[in-house]
Amino acid sequence: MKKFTLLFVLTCILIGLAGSLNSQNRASTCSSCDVAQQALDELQHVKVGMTRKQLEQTNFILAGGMLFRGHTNYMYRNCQYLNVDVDFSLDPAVEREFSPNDTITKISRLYVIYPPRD
Amino acid sequence: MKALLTAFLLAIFTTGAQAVDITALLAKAKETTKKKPSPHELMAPYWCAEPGWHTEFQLRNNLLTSDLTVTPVLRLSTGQEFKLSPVTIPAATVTTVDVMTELNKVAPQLVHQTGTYGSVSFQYSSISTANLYAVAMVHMDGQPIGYHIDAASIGKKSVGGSREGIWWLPRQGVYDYLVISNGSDKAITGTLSIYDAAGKETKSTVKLGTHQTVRVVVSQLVSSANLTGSYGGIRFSVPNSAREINSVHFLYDPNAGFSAMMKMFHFDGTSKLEERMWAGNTKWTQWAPMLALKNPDPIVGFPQGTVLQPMVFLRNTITQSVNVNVSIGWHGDSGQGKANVPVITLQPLETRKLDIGSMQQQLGIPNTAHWGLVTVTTGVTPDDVIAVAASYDATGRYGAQTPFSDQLADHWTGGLWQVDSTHNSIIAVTNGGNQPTDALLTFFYNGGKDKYEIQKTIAPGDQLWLNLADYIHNSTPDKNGKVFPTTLTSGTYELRDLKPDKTLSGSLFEGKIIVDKTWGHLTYGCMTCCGYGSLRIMDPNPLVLPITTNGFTTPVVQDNCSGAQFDYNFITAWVSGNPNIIWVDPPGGMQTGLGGGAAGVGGSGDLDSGDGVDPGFTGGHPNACPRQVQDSGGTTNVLAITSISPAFGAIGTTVPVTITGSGFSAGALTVSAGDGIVVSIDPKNISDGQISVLFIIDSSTTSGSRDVSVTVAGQKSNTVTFQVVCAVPTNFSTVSEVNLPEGSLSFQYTFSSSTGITNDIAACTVGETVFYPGSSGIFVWPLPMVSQTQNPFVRSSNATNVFIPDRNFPPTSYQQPYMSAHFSSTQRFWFICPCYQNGALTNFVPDLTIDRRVFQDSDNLWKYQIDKSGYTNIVTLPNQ
Repeated sequence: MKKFTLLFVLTCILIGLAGSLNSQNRASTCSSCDVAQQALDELQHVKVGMTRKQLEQTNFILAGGMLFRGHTNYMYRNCQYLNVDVDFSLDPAVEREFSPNDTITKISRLYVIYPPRD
Repeated sequence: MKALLTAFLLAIFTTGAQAVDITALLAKAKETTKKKPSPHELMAPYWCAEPGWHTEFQLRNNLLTSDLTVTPVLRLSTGQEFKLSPVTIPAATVTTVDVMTELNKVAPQLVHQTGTYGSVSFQYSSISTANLYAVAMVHMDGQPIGYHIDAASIGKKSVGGSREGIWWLPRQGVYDYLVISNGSDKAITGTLSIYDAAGKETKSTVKLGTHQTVRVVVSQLVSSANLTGSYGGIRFSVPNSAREINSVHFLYDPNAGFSAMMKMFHFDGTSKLEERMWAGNTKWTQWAPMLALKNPDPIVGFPQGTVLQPMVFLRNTITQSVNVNVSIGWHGDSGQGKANVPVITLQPLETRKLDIGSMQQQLGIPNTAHWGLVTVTTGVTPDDVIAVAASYDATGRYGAQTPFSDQLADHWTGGLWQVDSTHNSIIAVTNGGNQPTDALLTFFYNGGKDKYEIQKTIAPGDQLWLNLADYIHNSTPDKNGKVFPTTLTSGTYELRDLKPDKTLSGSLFEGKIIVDKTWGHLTYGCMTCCGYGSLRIMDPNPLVLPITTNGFTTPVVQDNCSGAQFDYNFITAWVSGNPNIIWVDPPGGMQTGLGGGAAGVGGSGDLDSGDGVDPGFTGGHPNACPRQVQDSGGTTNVLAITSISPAFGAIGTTVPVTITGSGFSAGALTVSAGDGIVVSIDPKNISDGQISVLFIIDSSTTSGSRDVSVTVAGQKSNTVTFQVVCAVPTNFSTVSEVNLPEGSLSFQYTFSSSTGITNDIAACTVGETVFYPGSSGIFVWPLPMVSQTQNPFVRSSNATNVFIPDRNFPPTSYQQPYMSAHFSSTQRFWFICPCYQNGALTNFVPDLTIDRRVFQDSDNLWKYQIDKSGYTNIVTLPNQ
C-alpha cells in the first residue's frame, strides 16, 4: 500500500515536471503535481551567485543526514521527496561551519528521493 | 679518513707541481679575453738615417690569433716626434718597416741628413707589453756593418739604477758611439761615468729632455779624461728613473768592415738574487752561447785561414772585489768538452779582458773546436759582474759576437730568421739548468700559418745546434714528419722548455747568428723571454663546493707574449677569507667546505713574470723575466642545504617548498627530489641562501622518504629528507549536538587531514552509510512512525569538507492509534583515499547505533525517543 502511494506521488511529480516544461498553462490533473510545480518555479529563482542565506530564505531546507558545506543537499519544505544538490564557493571569513555568505556555484536539477532522515 | 684523503690529494698535487706539463696546459690555451687591451710601448734607443746609414724595423706579433697594429714613432735626438704609418702585423709573423721609406713620407727633409737619429717608440694597444717583439736593425750603407738593437719596455714605476757597459777601442780607426735615450715624458738628469780597466773614474752630468737622445763618442771621453788602455767601464746612473732610460754602445770601422755591439745592462739595486736564478742554479750566472773560437766553423763562410781572437770582457760593477768563475763548453769537429778558467778576482770597478784565444791551448781546447758556450758565475748579487764577448780576426773584418744573458726561461720568442742564397741562420739552444729538459723550437712561416717543430732533449749544460740551411735544403722532417718548403727563405720562431718548474721558469736560453755571405759578416739575434702574468682570477670562479667535500680552484695565467690563457696553479701560500666557511690547505690549495656561505680563497706564489711593466707588477726589469710573487683569488661558495620546509608533502599534491642553505646562486641550479616528484623552479625565486620551488608529487607514487639535493654548477649538495605521505582524514570527532524541538538530533562533526593540511586530502572522499533493518531497498518505518527511507542510505563528498552537520530526523509524521514501536539503524562514517589501503573504504570510527522508538511514558503520553552516541531527544507525539 505504501509502495503504491510512493509510486503514485512520483508519477504525479514526473507528469507535473513534464507539464511544466512543455506548457506553463497546462492544467495539472494531480494536486501533488502542484507542489512539484511550485518547487520547480521556486528553484528557477535560485541562481548561481546567490548566497546560502538567500537560498535558505526559499522553501528549500537542509536535508537530513550528513551534509557537506561545499556540496549541500536541500529538500523542498512542502514535499521532502523533492531534493536538489547545491555547490558552494566557501566564504573565506568562516572556517569551520556553514556560512550564510557561502556563494552558490552550481545547482543540480530537482530530483526525487525518499526524504533523507538518517 | 679526512686526513688520509688530504694526504692523498696533496701527494697528487705536489707530484703534479714538480713536473709541469706545459704541453698539456698550452693545448687547451686560447688567447685571453679576460684582459682588455691597454696602451703599451716599447722603445729602441737608436735608429739612424744620417748619410751612409739606414735602419729597418723588424716587428713581430707574438699574439696567438689576433692581429697587432703598431705605430712606430720616430724621435730625433731633440725629442721631436714623427709618427709613421701604423703597421698591422698578423699573428705570429714578422713585418719589416724600412725607415727611409716611411720617413720620406712624413719628413723627407730629414732623410740622410746629419742629425737624423734618435730613439723610436713602438706604440700599440694590446693585452700585454710582450705581445710585440721589436728590433731596430741599423746598417751602414754598403758595408758589413750592422747592429741589432732590441726594443725594450719603458718602466712605469720609477726606481733608481743605472745602465752598465764596457767600452772597447781595439785599434786606431775604430769609431764608437754611446747612445743614451730617455723614453719617459719628463726630463732626466744622470751621471755618465767612464772607467779605465782599473776602475779609475771620470764622470760628467748628462741632461736628457723628454724623449731626447744623447750620442757621445767614448773614445773622445777617454782621451779627454786622460784615461788609458783599450777597454774599461761605462755607467750611466739615474737617481730615480733608471728604467725609463735605454742605451746602446757600438763600434765600427768602415775601412776594415768591422762592427761590434758592446751590450749594456740594466742595473737595479733592488734586484734580488732569488728573483733571477733559474733551473736549480744557486749562483748568479750568465751565459754566452756561441763564442766563435780561434778556428771558425766552415759554415760561417769566412775565408780559409781566418784566425779569430775570441775574448771575454768582464767588469765588476760594484765596489767590492768579486770572484768570478768562467767556463767554456766547447765543441767542434773532434767532439766537445768543457774547460774551466782559473778563478778570477775582479777588484772593485775593474774591467778585465780574457783572451780566450790565447788560453785555448792552456785550457785544453783543441784547435778543431769552433764554438764555445761561455758561462760566467759569481755569487754576490745580480749584475755585480757584466760580460761581453767578441771574436774577430786581427783586422776586425771577420768575426762574430754572442751576447751574455742571465736569463733562463721556458718561453722565448724570436725575430726574423733568414736562409737564402746570401744568408744562413745558426741557432744554439742551451740548457742552463741542472736537469735534462725537452726543448721545442717552432719555426713559423707562410705568414704564421705553417710551423715546423724540432723537439730535443738537452742534457744540463749541453746545447742543441741547428743549421737552418741544412734543415731546409736537406728536407729534414720535423717531429711531425713535416719538411720545410725548399724555397723558404725566412720566418719567425719561438722556443719552449717543455719541462718548466713550478714557477714556469725554464732552463733554456738561445743564441742565433745570421751569416751574411755577401759581406762575410755575422750578426746575432736575440729572443725575448715572455714570462707569465696572473690574471688574478680563478677557474672555476666561483667554485661551488658541497659542504664537507674537497675541491680546488686554479689561477688563470696568461703567457705574456702570446696572450694565451690557461689554468695553472703557481700559488704556494693559500689563504681563506673565512676559515669558518672554507678551510684551505696553505701549501696545496685543497679547499674544504665547512660552513654555509661564501668566502674569498686565493694566495700567492712565485711566477716567471715577464718584464714587469704590465699592471699588477711592482717590479721587474726591461726585457727580463724575473721570478716574482704574483697573486690570484676567487670566491668559493659552500653548497649546503641546512633545512627544507615543509619536510613532507602529500601524494597527489603540489607543495610549495623552501630550501634553505647557501651557494644556490653560484651557477646553473637544479633540484632533485627523488621518485615521483617533479620539481618546478622559477629562477626568480633563487637567492644564494634560499630556493622556493614547487614539488609536484605524482598521485600514483608511493609514500616514503625522498633525498632532496641541489646541484649548482655541476656540484651536488648534501641531501635532506623529504617525506612523501599519504594524507588521510583523521581525528573524526563530535563538535556539538543540539536537540531540536521536533525530535531531531543535530550533530556537528569534524575531522582533519593527517598532515594538518586540508588540501592534502582533496583526493579523498568522506561519507556515511546508514543501514536500516531488513534487506536493501526501501525501509518502511514501523507505525505509528510514518516514513520511508532508502536502505542503505549513502551520502558522500570530497574530503576537503571537514565540517559536517548530521541531522537525524524524526519520522515524517505519526499515525494513530499510537502504539509502541522501535527500530535501530547503524550509521557508518567512512573515507576513501586512493593512496590508502589501495583505495578501500575505511571506517573513521566504530559504527554508531541510532535507536528510535515510540513508547507510552509514565505520564501516559505517547512519546518519540531517539538515542545516538549517548545523546537522547524525546518529544511528545501530537494530538493527545
